Amino acid sequence: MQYETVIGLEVHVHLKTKTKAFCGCSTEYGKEPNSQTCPVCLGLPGSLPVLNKMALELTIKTALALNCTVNNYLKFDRKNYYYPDLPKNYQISQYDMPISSNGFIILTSGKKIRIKRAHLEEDAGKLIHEKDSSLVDYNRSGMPLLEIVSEPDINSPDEAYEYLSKLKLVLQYIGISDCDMEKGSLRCDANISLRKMGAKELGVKTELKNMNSFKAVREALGFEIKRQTEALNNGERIIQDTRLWDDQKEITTSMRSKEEAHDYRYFPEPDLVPFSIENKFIEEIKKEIPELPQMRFERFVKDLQLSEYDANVIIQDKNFADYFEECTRLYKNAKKISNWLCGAVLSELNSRKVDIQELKLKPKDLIGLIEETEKGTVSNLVAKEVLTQIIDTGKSAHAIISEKGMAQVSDEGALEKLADEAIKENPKSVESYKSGKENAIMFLVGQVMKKSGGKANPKVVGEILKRRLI
Amino acid sequence: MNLHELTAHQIIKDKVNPREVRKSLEERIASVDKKVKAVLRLCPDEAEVGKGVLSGIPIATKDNICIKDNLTTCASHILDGFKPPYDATVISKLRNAGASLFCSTNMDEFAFGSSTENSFYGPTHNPWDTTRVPGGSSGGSAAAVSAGEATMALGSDTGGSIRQPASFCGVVGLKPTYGRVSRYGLIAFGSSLDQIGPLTKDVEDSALLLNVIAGYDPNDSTSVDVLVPDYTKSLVKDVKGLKIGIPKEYFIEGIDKEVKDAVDQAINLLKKSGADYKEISLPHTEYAVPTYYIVATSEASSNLARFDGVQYGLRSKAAKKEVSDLIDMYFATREAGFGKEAKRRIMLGTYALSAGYYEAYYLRALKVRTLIKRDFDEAFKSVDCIITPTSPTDAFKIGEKTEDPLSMYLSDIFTISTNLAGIPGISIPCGFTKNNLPIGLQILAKPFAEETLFRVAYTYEQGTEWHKQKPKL
Repeated sequence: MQYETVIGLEVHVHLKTKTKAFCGCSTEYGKEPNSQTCPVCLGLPGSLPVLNKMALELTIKTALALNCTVNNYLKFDRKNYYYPDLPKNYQISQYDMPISSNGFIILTSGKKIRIKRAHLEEDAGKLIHEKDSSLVDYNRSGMPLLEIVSEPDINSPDEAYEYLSKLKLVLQYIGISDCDMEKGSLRCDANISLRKMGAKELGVKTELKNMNSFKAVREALGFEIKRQTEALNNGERIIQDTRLWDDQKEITTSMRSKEEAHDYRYFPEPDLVPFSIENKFIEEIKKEIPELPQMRFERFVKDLQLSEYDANVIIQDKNFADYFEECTRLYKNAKKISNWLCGAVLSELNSRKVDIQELKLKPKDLIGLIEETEKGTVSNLVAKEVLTQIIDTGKSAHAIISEKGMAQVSDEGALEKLADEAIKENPKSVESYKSGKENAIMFLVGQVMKKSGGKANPKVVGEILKRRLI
Repeated sequence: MNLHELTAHQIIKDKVNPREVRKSLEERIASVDKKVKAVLRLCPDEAEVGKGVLSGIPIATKDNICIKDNLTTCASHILDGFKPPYDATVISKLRNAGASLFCSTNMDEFAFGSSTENSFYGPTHNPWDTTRVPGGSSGGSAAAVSAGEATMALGSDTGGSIRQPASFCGVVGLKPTYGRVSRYGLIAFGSSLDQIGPLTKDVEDSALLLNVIAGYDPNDSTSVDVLVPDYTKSLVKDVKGLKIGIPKEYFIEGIDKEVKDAVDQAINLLKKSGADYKEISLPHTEYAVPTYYIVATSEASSNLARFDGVQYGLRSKAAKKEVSDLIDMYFATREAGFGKEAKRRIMLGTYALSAGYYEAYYLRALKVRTLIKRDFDEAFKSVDCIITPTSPTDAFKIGEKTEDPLSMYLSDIFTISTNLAGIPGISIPCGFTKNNLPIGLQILAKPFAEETLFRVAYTYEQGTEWHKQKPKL
């Protein structure tokens, strides 16, 4: 039997505010347990929430960046359930009137994944389980969370992965979150069901939790498709339940069934008076939204003639793309800059495990290096060595090349001697070149380069060799 | 006159040493509180007398208002040992005004009740007749002021909890407009209904105390940024041209004849002083009690969810189990910690908010609430204030209504609409029944028109001697 997979994703993202959603406590991560708390986020009797304006601004900013409609009426509700990390035993959230709705994200294939709603709520604390007891750290309690709920428009684990990556990129571009899943600043739950190919009605869904990376989301969905397919093929019924992904065993296990599901008894939060949001306020926020990744990608391809592949690599990190743009202001050949960034620079970043902002390479130094290669002062091979040294020392390309005598040798007298040696030592290559395989000369050029310690000007070497082998 | 009988404005005017007043009050408590049982505990005496408009004036606070590092229990077992690490905004304001926090008073557990019988610490007795209730839920505050155990007091009013005990104990009780006084630090019962207000020996003290506690608070989003006038300026003996509305729905069968007569006479006195009056209609009055009990209990069920034994207060272990897990702890703690009425209201509210019932109960109640509010908006187009009895009867006997919650709920029938509408109301003494029990006159005004309440109340008070009567203890 052929089944169609239907997936909807619920993403929770911490908004990067200085203080919590409803009190003045710091949101800084990794502090001493319960050091960043007050009567409000501890839910002490008598305390009252007051909305953090910054949290509202970031929420609206995100909603706009995700193409959502921002609703002009702000209302909060209480979601009632008991859990020891939830100090009031209710969460301030939004139920029937989310701050925003009806957005979308477009995948590379052109497919549109609709966003049902994005709403603001408060996070709970964290439980720390010990041998005979459990402890609660309320530092996270009251942190502003944005819940972004997609429509069930996703049909494969890969699409889910791409949706999450694109979503994360947008969130990073507008600077509203670290999106660090390990620190819990981004979390994702997935709803998944199967239905017979072509069927209109949705199948019974399961909810997957506890995925700690986008990769885990993809794997958990993959597992669940297999599990549900097997069950359906065996004539079993899918039970609506909440399942936990086990990263070690790579399986999902049932946590609770629908019958045990909560009745959250939502009702309007009486401690926060609903209010209207003025259009002017929304318009002001709109102005702060930078160019988003999709637009930037299109501009790089269209205006700067980058390949789609390179453009995509560059936009994956906003700082990286900003860096690229700064370089293009200093040097006109964007394609060449892109080659350097996506090649040598990216591999330096990877081997050093740093990001572009941490790397000791000013755009003007990178451009200086590119210009040296242009002038023929150094070969590309040597240039890579120079790049490493720029990063190590922070000196300019010019300084390094002259200090270390790395300038390319273009003196024909010296190179002719090396060319003759190479011809003598590689009769086979000489033979094939003479028999018409023009590419064989590249090997000989390489040999000369090697003998010169990389300093020979390959263009000049090629000309000398050709002359000698006529 | 004994120092414990003085009002705050007398102490201020006559420059009485507040230390001596405090001493006198302590002696009074020692001699009469075994009969009244209004006071739960004394606050530690401060080393210095504070400076400000209420310099050194001893103030009693209802036990649901947080005082930093001081036991604050809502008269509930579940808050055993709870000492808030912060002051309620009204407490900070009192401290800034130089007032002396004097004692915490008894109340119905979490303000659930109209008789102060639902206290974990036992009932408070009416100083006028100790076999009777003082009203509630701020019964401790009302009885303490009435019995000369406190100069003035703070209470909280969710459906009449300041005004009804003021009426039963023969003192002045004011529920300000919703949003006039910060709720920050008031342990919530019905968040959309609760207001803190003064219980005092006379109208002037009420204005003095409101002057100090009123005002916008950035820590309470429901407090309103409306200028606080000097309420003592409204203490004028003049109601000429003032229009009084008498709602016909409030003078119904079941109202005690003596109460009705006292209120009629009060209206006559105001008429003689130059006020006009007319009959008005508040057509949705009959729905106020059911609407209130859905809204208030729904909010309460959620507000009280936090009392779970995890962070503070009581924590109980499951009695019959060797290993107590989390759920057992929740059950055991809430079973042992809450009294009967608290449990009843939590269950009522939980039910009203449940999936499948929400629309029929909570949502409908909100709609009726809007209608009740509109009744008042409409009425205040043609009148400046509304006068009603505070309670249909005088103080009832202890134990008389404890087995009949519905009749207990109905004792708030005249005060509940005020909270649903968010308008201010005051209860002042207007006579005594044959049983020598005080009768209360309720005056209502439009939102933020506390000045009108003070003007009418003061004019009436100046023409009568009721507020000067003291219970014999």
